[in-house]
Amino acid sequence: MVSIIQVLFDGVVFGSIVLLGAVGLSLLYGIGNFANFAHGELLAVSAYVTYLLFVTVGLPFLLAAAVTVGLTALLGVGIDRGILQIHRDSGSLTKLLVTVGVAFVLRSLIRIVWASEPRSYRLPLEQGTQVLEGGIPLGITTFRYDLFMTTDSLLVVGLGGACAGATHLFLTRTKMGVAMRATAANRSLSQVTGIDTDVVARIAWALSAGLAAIGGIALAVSSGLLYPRMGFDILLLVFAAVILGGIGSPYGAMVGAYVIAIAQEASVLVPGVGARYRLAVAFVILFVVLLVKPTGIAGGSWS
Amino acid sequence: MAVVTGPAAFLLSLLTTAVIFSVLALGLNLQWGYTGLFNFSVAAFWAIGAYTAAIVTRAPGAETAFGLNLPYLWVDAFGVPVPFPAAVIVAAAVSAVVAVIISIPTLRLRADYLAIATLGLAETIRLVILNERWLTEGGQGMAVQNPITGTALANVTLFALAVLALVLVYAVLVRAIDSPWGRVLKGIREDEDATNALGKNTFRFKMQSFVIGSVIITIGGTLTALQINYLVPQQFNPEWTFFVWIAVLLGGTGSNRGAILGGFVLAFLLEVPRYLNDLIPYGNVASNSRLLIIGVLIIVIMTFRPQGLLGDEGVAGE
Repeated sequence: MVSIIQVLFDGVVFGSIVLLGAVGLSLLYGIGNFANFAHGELLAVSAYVTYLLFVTVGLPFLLAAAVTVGLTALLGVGIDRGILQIHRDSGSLTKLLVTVGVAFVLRSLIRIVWASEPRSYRLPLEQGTQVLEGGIPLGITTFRYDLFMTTDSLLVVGLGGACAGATHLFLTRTKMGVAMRATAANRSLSQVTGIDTDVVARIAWALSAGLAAIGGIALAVSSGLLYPRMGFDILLLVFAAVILGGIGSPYGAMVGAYVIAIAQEASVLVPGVGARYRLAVAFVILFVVLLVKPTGIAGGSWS
Repeated sequence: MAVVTGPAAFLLSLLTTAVIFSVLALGLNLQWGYTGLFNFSVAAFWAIGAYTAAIVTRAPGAETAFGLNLPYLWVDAFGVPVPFPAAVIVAAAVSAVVAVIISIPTLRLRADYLAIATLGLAETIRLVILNERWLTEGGQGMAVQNPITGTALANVTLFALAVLALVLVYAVLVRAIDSPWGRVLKGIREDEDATNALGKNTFRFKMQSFVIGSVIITIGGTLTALQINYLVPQQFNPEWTFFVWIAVLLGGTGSNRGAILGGFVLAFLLEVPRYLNDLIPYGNVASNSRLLIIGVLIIVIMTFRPQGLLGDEGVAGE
């Protein structure tokens, strides 16, 4: 039997990546009141830009990643100023469709520039360490508690936690963060009190895209693979995490991300489901949440 | 009568594709154009139509369920495959059930939940088609027991069937939209709370619209099964969902004639370049820029002309 400890650990690693996508998506959902279908593509684009800077140009990896995060944040602001600013007063459905258009443009650009073949950063392979090994016999089966981890996976977990913490501090301790929460709660009222909601939206885009970039690079490193559909494949998980957490609540999204990712890793244990239906697990959870508690864990609150 | 071949056959096949796209666009237009419901599962319902029709008409002797020698659906249980016209009804029933299931949790909530849920549904159905080889033969593809191939005028017959389906669907939709039922749908699109306050059970109306629209898309799928004869999962890529969306947005949201116009424009946009491929190098670039064009079109239409070419002016104020 597969070690449950291992499954949990893998879930937390993957959950950290989903978290990086989900917090930004949730933030934007709250402030702009629309579902950003281009969010997955932001993850994919940043993974590819890092590929360009690291493999093609030859910059050191961390520098390439840092530059990518900055560029993706700029791209987010660009999308907002160029396209979504026009739609500030449009309905949320119009905005949603516009972001679908943006997603297609980004994905086709990836395919035009980097073609469809999978790529890889070809980072040096890591040995990893076996932290725990062994099992407790339990009647017919054995409860295994093996645990294998790599430095990369620990880094991803740390990065996810650090970004979640930083977002928390930003939202609670800075003036801009407070303005953001106010805008999400009530845009017109915030404008009356003198908050420039356009600037708030722009900062939210930058933050959301920057977090997505970190998530995209972490995804490419931990899966070892870049392909044009990678953003679309994770988008569903990110949405499931956001809805499970409660739309517009970055804190709920953090919890949702871990739950979804652990459930997805654990689905491999269910006989007959296996790895083939990994992607469908998020959908099943989403379906149940919508049926039972559509407001999600945090119920749309920011506190 | 002579068999239709050469350029005439190409034109006929192009027109058949256009008619099928129009049927798909009419289904989506009922959901999005008239009721304001998102459906990002268009390709999935289209696939349900094609695959269900192909599965229930399959000749006996095919692989059995789970390889367990159990009777495989009724084809093995009763020894006789379902005739194609009846298969269309079976396909419609299957898609209606799927549509009801996805409607129950999502249609009571705000509109974007349906968008996200249908996106997940589409992915799940895609995985089922790809993985359940005993049912769909997975990635290797599945032949359709096509009653009209081999006959002298197969392509003419198919075209006639497609036109018949289009005319029927159009006639039913025009009557339905003009009826009090259709007015309630438009009311939901404009202001759901107000419609609710007038005593209409909007949840029920939305579900009816979603289910009927999905069934129409499924009927388009059964026609596709007859047209392409051999089903592979890639044929029903999620991208197709957005091709149909383009047809509706371009033709005119909330206009049945617009949806048909959109279906025709789409068929010409998609099919003609495919035959020009031999003339233009960089075919790969062409297929990638197709995606780019879709994206740009969606943004441009939603920004500058949200009601489309023949659309309902009321939609623009949304």
